[in-house]
Amino acid sequence: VGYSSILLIDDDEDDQEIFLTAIGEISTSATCIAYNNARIALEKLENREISVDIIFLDLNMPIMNGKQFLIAFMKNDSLKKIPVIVLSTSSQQQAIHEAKSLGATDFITKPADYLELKNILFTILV
Amino acid sequence: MRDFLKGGGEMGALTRALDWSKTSLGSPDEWPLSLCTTVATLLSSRFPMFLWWGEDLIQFYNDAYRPSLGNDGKHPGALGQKAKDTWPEIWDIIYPLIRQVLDTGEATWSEDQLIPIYRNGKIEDVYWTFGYSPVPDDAFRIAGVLVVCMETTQKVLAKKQVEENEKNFRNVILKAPIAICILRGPNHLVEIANEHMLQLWGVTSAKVLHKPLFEGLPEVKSQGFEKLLAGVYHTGEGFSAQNVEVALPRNGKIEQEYVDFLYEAETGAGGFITGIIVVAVLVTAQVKARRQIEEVVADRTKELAQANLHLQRSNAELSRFAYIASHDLQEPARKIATFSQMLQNSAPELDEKSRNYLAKINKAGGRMMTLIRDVLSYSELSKQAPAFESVDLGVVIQDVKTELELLIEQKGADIGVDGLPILEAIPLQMFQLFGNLLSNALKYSRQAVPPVIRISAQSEGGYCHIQVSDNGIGFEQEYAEQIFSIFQRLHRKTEYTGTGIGLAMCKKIAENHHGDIYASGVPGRGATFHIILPEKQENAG
Repeated sequence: VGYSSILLIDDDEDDQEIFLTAIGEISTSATCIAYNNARIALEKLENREISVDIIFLDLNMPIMNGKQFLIAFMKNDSLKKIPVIVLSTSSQQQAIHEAKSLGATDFITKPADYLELKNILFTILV
Repeated sequence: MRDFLKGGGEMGALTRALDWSKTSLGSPDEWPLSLCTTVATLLSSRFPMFLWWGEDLIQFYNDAYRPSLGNDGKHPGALGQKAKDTWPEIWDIIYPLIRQVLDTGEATWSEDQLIPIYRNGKIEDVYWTFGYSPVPDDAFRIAGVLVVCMETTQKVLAKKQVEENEKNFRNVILKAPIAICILRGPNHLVEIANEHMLQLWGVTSAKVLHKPLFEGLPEVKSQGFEKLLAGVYHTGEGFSAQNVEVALPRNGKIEQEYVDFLYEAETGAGGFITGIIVVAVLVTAQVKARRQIEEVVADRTKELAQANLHLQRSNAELSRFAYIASHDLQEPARKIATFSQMLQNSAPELDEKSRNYLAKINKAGGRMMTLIRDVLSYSELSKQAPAFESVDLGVVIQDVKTELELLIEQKGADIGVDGLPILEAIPLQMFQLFGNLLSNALKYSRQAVPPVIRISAQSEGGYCHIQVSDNGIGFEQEYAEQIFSIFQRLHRKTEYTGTGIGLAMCKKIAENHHGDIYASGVPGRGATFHIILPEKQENAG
């Protein structure tokens, strides 16, 4: 049921920790890898060094930002079937619209409430 | 009666009727031939004539002369009377003339001479052109004086009137409070120029008067005035101009002055143009003052434009700063809230006090998040380029009600909507506007009084007047403007939640739509928010 192999791309280590903790509390079976560099994550995906069935993507990152990642990712026919959920601090309509038009499956504004985050992740993953 | 006294009108009849034997001339039968001939000639002439005859200068006159004696005067007594008895008032004038003719035999000639006489019941100033001619008797000695005359009083008075008018006209020119001169003839001879004109020209009257203008005032040659004057003189069409720059002599130097002037052709008796009247006003001071003002205005306008540009830039920078700052501030705030919550969960063995602190940290973090999000939304209102489209406010209110469903249910609110229009607006901002107003109306309700909220709209001259009224806690009217300022709160946040940005956003949204928002309230009774929005926007999509 749901997704069991999760990739998180977020340069913020605190957010990584929050995310991983939340996943851990939702599911014991799910595995989660986290990268703080979108370019490396993309390379690993393209070279099939890693294999995942859902990706959570931060937008505001150095080197390669979420938008650039989405553009490159969607050019790869074998990869683009994997759902990408954008996970951002932003709640701007424009950012949401842009992410979806680039192929993002969904857009989640990082909530301040930890329980809410868990609820959202639960609905997506399970 | 001798034949020579036939005819002659009134005077002929009077002459015939007079008993001449009582005069020194005696009966006409005894008169010398030359007297008879002269009297006959006189009576039959239609030229005014008068005759003195003999030592006593006995008088004869004809019908043509008769009116000169007027009524109630010397007529008809003068006939057959001695000259001295008829003309006592002018005897001193006429007797020497008579004497001269009698003694020398030479005729006199006087033109337009004033000889006041008694007539019409008073002494009148009468002008005459007349000649005294000697009349010889039968022996060719001078025996009489024939006066052939013409009263010229009317002519003289008319001429005097003309002269008087001329004098008055010159006086008007000389005493006029502005510069006037008359230029005569094709060479523009300066006939008269008043003191103001001389001052304007910067010359003495001796230098220009009775000389061609450009000879007396060579400094103004070749500045275009010759052509203008010639045009007026030849066409008769007047010319006027304002703020004309002209170089004029000033204290031995040539200076730039400015004049307003008027040329008007003057026509003579034959309808021909004989000269030009020039009226001028020196306006150098005014022109200079205006130029100065124009310069100042131009400078200020430029400064204002620059200030505006700076303002726009700094506004854009400020808005950018607000966006970035609030965007980046969200992250730590969110983490504070999240980690404090996680700590709460991972340490269940914490004592009550610590749990309480953690809850406060969590709450503060959450509140900071909301605050930052609201500032962000507010700053975004300034950032977005407006994209107006047709918006059904009824649908907007429905969406807002769906969004606030939970709160409406909790409060048991009654929301009535009446006749909301479709207008050109920014859809998201309409949602934010009514979202804020409705959530305020729900939030600031009275305790234990279910909110009753009414939303209605009226069309007023191209504008839509929307009213959102509630039965909540209201506010003092003195705060009616203040509530729309950012971060302005009327209540402690423990009483009513909120960031103090909602109404500031509403105002910003109304302004973005070229409209307005204002409020009225009664404490404890409720508040009404009035929103005025144009039905059409200029750059609607």
